[in-house]
Amino acid sequence: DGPERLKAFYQNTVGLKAQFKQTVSDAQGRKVQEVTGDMQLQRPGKFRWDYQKPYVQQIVGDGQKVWLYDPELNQVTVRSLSKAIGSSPAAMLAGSKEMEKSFALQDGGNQGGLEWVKATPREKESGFEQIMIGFKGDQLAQMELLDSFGHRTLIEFSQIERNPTLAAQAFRFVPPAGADVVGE
Amino acid sequence: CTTTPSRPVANEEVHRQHLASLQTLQAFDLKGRIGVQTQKQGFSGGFTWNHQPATDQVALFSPLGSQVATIDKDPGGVTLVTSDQKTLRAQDAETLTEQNLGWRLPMQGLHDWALGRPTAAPHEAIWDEQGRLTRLKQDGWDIEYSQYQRVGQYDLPHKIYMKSLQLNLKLIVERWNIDDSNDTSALQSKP
Repeated sequence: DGPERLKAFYQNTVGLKAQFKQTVSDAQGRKVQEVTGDMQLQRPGKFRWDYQKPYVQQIVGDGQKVWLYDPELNQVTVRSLSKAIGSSPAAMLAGSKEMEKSFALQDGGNQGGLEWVKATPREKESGFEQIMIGFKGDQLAQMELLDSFGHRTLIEFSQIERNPTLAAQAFRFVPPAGADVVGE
Repeated sequence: CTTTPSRPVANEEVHRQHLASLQTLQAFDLKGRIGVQTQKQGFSGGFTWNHQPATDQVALFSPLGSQVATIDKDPGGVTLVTSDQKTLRAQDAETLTEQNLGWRLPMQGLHDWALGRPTAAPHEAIWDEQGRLTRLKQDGWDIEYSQYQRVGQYDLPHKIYMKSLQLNLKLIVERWNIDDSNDTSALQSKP
């Protein structure tokens, strides 16, 4: 079932590289945002999401901290990974132990040819009511996030490479000169 | 603080004309990204804002598109709803956001500043050759307009950097929807 898939994913997927499309719709189902980019992850706790279109944004987890960089805003927002786990699906995908601590896992059944696991955040402030992760076999395919305002974020992964060789450089973040670095 | 550098009078006229062109703008809807910085903390993400003469609706989003908070203002006061569904109310946005988010959202003058025009309070302004504000000092804020965009017949800000002692706000307006019909009946019909 779903939780088994997720555990298998954590066991046999130490690294991952994929493209993603993130589509956000509001409570009335109207599409409010569509952003594409590519992502990488390296267990434990390392990940990188490069949003490319329509705007550039980077979210980098270096194992201790999560860096969020918006070049046009010229701002870097930094959070500790442990604090980010409950609210950042990217961190959730990259960490297995913290996952159990921060989320209650249930089988989400089969839909759209995928096997789903339902992850409900244990503490309220995560900002998400529910996170669903969909697998094709034991390959990550989709994530769906529902927030407390009824917004639904669907993330569809494609061109997935499992356990590729990844440059350690990809998971290091150095704030560009002149950028405002702000803690959260 | 710097006094307004001497500018040819014609330029002042051009500035006055630019401000006059914005006079008819009483309502707007915008979508963009916001960067918030205080001494201790910061936020960056998406935001939407619907401004009407008597009401304001602001929503803040995380990079993942999840909604972080909504701030709604009406003649009776301002309501903040946070992502863990706490609802808080206060007389004005300044005190409400300070108590709950740790930074003061200057809702009072913000819609004028977002449109690239000063409020009625005393201010110092520097403008470009098309009369558009490039720098505005007012009510304790130092506001820089670094980019403009054409929206219908209007020149409206695309990038705004607002600095004050306590808080820096960076706004990038990705999309303006302008409703400049003067007859309020049209405004009332808005959802």
